[in-house]
Amino acid sequence: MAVAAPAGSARESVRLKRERDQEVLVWPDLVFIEFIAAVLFTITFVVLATFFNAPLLNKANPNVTPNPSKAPWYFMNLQELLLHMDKGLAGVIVPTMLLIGLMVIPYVDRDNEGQGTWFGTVNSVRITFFSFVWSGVWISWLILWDNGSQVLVYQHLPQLWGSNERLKWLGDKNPFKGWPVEGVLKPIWDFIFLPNRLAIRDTWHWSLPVPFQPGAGPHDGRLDWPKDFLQIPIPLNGTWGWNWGGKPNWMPGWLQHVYPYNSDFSLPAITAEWIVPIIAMVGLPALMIYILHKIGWAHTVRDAMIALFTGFIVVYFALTIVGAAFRGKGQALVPPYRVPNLEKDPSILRQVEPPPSHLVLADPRVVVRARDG
Amino acid sequence: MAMTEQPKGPGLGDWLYDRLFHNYIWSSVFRSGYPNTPRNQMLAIATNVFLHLHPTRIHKTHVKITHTYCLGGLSFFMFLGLTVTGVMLMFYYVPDVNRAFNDVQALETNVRFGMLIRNLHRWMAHAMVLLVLMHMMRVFYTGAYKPPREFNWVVGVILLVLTLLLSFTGYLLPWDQLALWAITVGTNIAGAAPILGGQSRLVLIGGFDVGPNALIRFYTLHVIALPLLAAIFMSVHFWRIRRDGGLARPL
Ligand code: HEM
Repeated sequence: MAVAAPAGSARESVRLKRERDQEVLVWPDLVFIEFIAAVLFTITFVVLATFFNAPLLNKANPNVTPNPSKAPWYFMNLQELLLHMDKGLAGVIVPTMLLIGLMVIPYVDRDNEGQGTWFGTVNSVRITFFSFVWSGVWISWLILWDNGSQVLVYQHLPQLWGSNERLKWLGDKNPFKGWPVEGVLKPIWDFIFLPNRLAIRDTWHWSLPVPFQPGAGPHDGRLDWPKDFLQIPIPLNGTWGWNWGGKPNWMPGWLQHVYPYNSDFSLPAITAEWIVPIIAMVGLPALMIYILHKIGWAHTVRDAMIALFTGFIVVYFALTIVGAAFRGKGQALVPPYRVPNLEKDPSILRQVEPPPSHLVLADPRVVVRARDG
Repeated sequence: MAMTEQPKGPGLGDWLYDRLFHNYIWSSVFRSGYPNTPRNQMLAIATNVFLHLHPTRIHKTHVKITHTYCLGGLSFFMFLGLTVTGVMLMFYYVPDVNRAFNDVQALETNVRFGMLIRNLHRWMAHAMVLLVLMHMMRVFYTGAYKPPREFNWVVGVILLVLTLLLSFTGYLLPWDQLALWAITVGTNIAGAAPILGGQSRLVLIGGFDVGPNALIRFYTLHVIALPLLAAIFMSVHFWRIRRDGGLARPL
């Protein structure tokens, strides 16, 4: 244990001696703890395994898809993330970045202060708490917003005082009717009251008069969202500079995969699937650290790491819980009691059949009749 | 505790030990005497290949349960338990789409303690994922990744990934509806990668759908490749704890 420093000076050997006094023997002190922990866990798991059976549904059948289909619980957070952004971003880029992020923590935060004790730096507990609340509130709000829950709640507000009337969502109103710059104000208003994320792509609309569009040839004189932004050519895809004249067959196959010879951007889709989620994922943590810094709680890299790591843990578990307990048929956001229990779904519930004969072990004491064949 | 006390006179333990173990065969196996003196206690650790994962002495804050909550050790214990129950399951299980499901079902109804073994394997697998995550949290909040332990934290992250993969590959093996569709959903996530997604999913499940090829791939990964990798990285992990001077503590 004690670091093998050469006991050169007398002071050094005193230090070593003091360290020795702080030490206990692994046998018995540690070995017994390990032994007891192992015994306790063994007992707990034997009891657990006696009373709770591992699930087994019907035999796998590619033709019957359970609804909802869910990943194992520790990947349900990713599955939940997929509902909120581009699949590649949620399924691969974000997890990869997170793993890399986890791995670089110790290379970024190298100060030894507070090492080896729980919450060893001055403000670490409050920072953890702040990040816990901040991340918890934001992730809940984001999930609800992406689901359009705020619209539903708003529409049903009159029910609080017993009326059956439904309110019209703010985004559907137009307080600027007839104003001189209505065409600018209304889209801003709409943007503030977007019902959800995908509405940026699908229903948000504006149209500005543009007398001249560079390189556009004949045009209708207006710039419309989303219509005019659906096919933005990207460099090298054959519309800029030179033209490939269709598929560049002279390229090797893999290059054709990678090379955007025929693709272009749909800005509305990219906004909804990439830009908005990335702003949320990068901007909110950054804002948190900025605030922590401004209110004087976070001073060191360790402080920032505590805030970020706590946020990661909160979001990891929050997404897992939402994915597991709040996603019903078609991945709709529903209260837990409306999430179907697959183990009771008749289409996939196990019909217990006797096993085929070659699998019945020849133990006469076990009464299980085989099916023929 | 035991170290600072003076060795007591011979007690019941010593007498029993003398009676039972003071013979040629026993001492050919266990070199050290009964661990009731500091010397023998240290020898008991140092001369045993399994206990030798430990140092012989340890700083007293580290035997406080509330320092580690035993989480790393328990993760490892889960790994051991999963290995034992997993080997037992392998006796009965054939990774063939026509047999796998029936094998698991037969295991539950036909094999004495089969259900218990399967349940144990299942619940310990879930517990291991949770314990590893909690262990990571404890390491983080005690600031135990700081120099010189940077690399061991990285090894830890690799172990976390391996744990998740082990659990994920095992999920398919019962070949029931839960397994098939969870893995379909899971591998679709991998398939969503921007450029290599389709390819990597193809490699992972050996086809376009989760079928016989996927089953045999997941089985092989689950019972040999990933456990071997995990064992290797765990060895590095434990070795590094010793090399880095034991667990972290305030300077
Ligand atoms: C299969 C998974 C793992 C096993 C079996 C394992 C096992 C252990 C054990 C037995 C210890 C000794 C202290 C303790 O029990 O806390 C330990 C310490 C440590 N583990 Fe792990 N671990 C695993 C995963 C991880 C992960 C995911 C991380 C971090 C990302 C990590 C980072 C560390 C570090 C940095 C230490 C040194 C702690 C200190 O000096 O206080 N390990 N590990």
